[in-house]
Amino acid sequence: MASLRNYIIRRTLETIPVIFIVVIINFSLIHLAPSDPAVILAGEYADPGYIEAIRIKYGLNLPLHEQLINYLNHLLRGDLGFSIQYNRSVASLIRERLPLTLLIIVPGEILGIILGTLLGAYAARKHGSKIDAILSTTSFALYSTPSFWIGLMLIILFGVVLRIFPIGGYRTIFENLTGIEYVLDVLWHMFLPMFTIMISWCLPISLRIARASVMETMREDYIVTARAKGLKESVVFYKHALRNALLPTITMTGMWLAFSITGSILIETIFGWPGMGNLTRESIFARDYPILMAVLLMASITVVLASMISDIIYAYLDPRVVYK
Amino acid sequence: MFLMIKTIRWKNIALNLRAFWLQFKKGRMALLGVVIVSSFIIIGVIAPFITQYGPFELTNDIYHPPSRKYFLGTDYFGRDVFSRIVWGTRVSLFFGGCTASLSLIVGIILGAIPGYFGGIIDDLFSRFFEVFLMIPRLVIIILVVAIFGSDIIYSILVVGLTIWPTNARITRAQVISIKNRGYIQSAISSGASHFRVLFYHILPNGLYPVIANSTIEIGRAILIEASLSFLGLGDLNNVSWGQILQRGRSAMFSAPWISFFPGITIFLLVFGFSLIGDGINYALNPRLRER
Amino acid sequence: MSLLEVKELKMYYKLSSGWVKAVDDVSFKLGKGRTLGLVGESGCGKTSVAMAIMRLLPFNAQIMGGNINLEGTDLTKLTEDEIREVRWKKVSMIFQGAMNAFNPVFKVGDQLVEAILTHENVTDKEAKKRVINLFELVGLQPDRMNNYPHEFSGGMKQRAIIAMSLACNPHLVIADEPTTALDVVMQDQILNEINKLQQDFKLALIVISHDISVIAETCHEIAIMYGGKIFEIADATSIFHNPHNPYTIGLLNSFPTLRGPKRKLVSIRGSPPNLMGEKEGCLFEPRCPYAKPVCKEEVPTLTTIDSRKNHHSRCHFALDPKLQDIEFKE
Repeated sequence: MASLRNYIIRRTLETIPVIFIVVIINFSLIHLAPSDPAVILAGEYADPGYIEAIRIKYGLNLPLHEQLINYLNHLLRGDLGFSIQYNRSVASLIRERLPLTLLIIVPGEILGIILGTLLGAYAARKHGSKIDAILSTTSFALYSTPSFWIGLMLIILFGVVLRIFPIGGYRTIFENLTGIEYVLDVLWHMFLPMFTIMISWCLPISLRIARASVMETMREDYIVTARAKGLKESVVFYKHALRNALLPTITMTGMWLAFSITGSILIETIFGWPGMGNLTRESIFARDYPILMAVLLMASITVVLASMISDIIYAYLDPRVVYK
Repeated sequence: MFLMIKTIRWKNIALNLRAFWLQFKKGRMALLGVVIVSSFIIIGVIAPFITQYGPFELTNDIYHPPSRKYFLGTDYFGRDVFSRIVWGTRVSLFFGGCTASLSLIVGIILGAIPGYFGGIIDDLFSRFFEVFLMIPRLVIIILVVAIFGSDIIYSILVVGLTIWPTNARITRAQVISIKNRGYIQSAISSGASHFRVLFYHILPNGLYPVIANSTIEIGRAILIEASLSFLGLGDLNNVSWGQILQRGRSAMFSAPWISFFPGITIFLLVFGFSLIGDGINYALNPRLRER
Repeated sequence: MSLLEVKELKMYYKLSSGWVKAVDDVSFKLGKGRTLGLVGESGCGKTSVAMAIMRLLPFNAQIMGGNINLEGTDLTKLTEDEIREVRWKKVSMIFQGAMNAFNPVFKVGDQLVEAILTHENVTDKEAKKRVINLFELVGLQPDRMNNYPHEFSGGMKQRAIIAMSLACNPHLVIADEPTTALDVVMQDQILNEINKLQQDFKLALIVISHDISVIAETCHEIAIMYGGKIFEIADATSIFHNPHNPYTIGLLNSFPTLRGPKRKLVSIRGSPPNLMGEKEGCLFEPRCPYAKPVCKEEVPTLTTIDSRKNHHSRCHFALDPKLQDIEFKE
């Protein structure tokens, strides 16, 4: 276990330069743009006085390396900039919106991965059969369909035609619900967006990866050994095969949790869900660069952290890794 | 000696291609994919001949449901949805093709080099891939497009330059495994330059998995383009499927046909490309062919 | 009565292009404490016989005829549940290329414990104790029990596989190419190990190999297989000093001996036969220097050379004394 600890330390240390690179890329983007960085930071539609103030605040007339240090300083203090559009600090906006986004992404992802993996393992067990073909093709088809379209169709179907779910928002506005009723109301609103996230890519990809992995694992020699030992087929499958087959899924999980941030942009737009995704979209139109850059920074860092965590979990589960 | 290697090389490639095609043909889904994609390509090419209206042509029939006059209905401006979708095919195919090609070229070059030379170069490049893979694509694209403008060229460049790592990884793995084969060793020992060996000998035999991946990538690129247009970041001069969907959203309940059909076409085209790519992989990998 | 009696076993694989006759009319007997060697080129069916005995056949393989009698029970007639009881408890296997025979995510010791607990009603602690004994038996450090497979060297893995195969005190052990992946020194050790264990436990042993020198060291009886059929079967001495089959003679000629006169090694020309489709005549005919017209037309049956020694040969000219002088040309 000592080696595992070392691995964790090593992996964490490796992440730091990566985050650093990401921050630098962020920083460069402002300066690569054809327009004046001060205008970008202040927002395109700001008045000249404000732009000048921004220029001084961020020291944009200073040499580049000093600017970088300033930028890093601001970041470390939690200052992500100020949004003209909302007239608030970016950090406070994020603090408000992020939980809502997580509310639909996290359950959607987790359910999608669990269901997808179970179905994928099942399809692998029955590979070559009709049910396998149906599952594979359906997951293919779902993955090829734009998520926002799926969301739209679901709204029309369940929100308008069948009237089971609300058509948007995160709570019923006109009634001031509290306590349990509030929670249930949010859950009711949350269902469709979460479901869309789940079936438009989490479930299909998990299914395909699990299926391929299980099929690959079942061909290994140690499976033959397990059968030769007289173990029941179910034991062979669940104990010996799955333990190995599920490792790739674990690797992917971390990455997707992060990529869902980008997916949430589309889904939240469709459902009018006031989370980070919607914030990003609104900022695109308002050309509110401070928000956009903060989003990029957060998204990248989340990806980096997520992949680090999933690497560590993988190392814990697969004894071969640490001993490289 | 060179001549002999040359003829062996071409024979090798030709034989591989033929064997591959025979195997590919067997996959029904793969052939379906070819049919779908070809149909779209044909539709895109003959667009002017099968549409009655232009993509931005206004008529007086606003929000007209699908009928004989307007095959798939009209939108808020009275534009025929069918015509818009047909013209949009060109944009989708163009975007997908350019992006995937860019990613293919960059990916092959950046994957072949570490694969061939190994050692420190390999380590450096692999690290580089890792970092690149972690960049959340859509956000960067949005940022770039927001800063630089929504001309389609920018989108193609950004997407193409962010999805190449998968191609690079595949190429690298292929180069590593082919590098040690007999005919490569003989080419090297007969004095061929590194460039020659890599591009004339190794790559032609190892390209299939990358091609498979690129085919699938065309589909992914089309989805990205649709997402961009949907968010309003697409090229406004050309009609694209995502754009139609976006406009259709405001009339989601009153005129659902506007949103419905572009989604179907996106799905079909992406599905088609995925089937082809998967079919290529299937044909290449004998183990998947059991039963 | 012998421990194991295989009678006219036929096992075919179904491919989309037809049936592959991997095992075609194979018969032999094996007594307790005796070792049978199955020798032949790759693809001659030796591993298929082993898999058939353990009923570890892939989905497209089928036993098309014949019996496998282990201690009176016909293994071919058992249900899936019944065969699972037999596996490892009555007959176990040492796998070819033990490199991947262990599950990489479990400790080696645990995998042996699993084998024991599946068949015997003992406590976990007792099972672990037995594993320690088994490890010592094969010359492995007992504390290695808690290591993972990738921490074992090739030779150690092979020993561990041998230990595992003995975990439930089987009556029959099938060793499939037990030394192929090892270096010569390790080969020697492992073979000695196997011999010793066999004597100590009075096991019936089947050793499968394409390396005739391995067979020579360990076996009482030898069966030479070709194209899914047994071409010659006899006790070891007869095979080496009194072969009555062209293929056997060819095999013997292609392996070097440490003692005896220096001679040129001659390999058998040609490649292994196609096992699909109906073949008229002897499968070895295309490569046989003694081939006569009848060899193309009729499939040879087993001729008895010496019934006391149970020496049989599948050749039209098995009893022909001129057979001994055949020469394999390059």
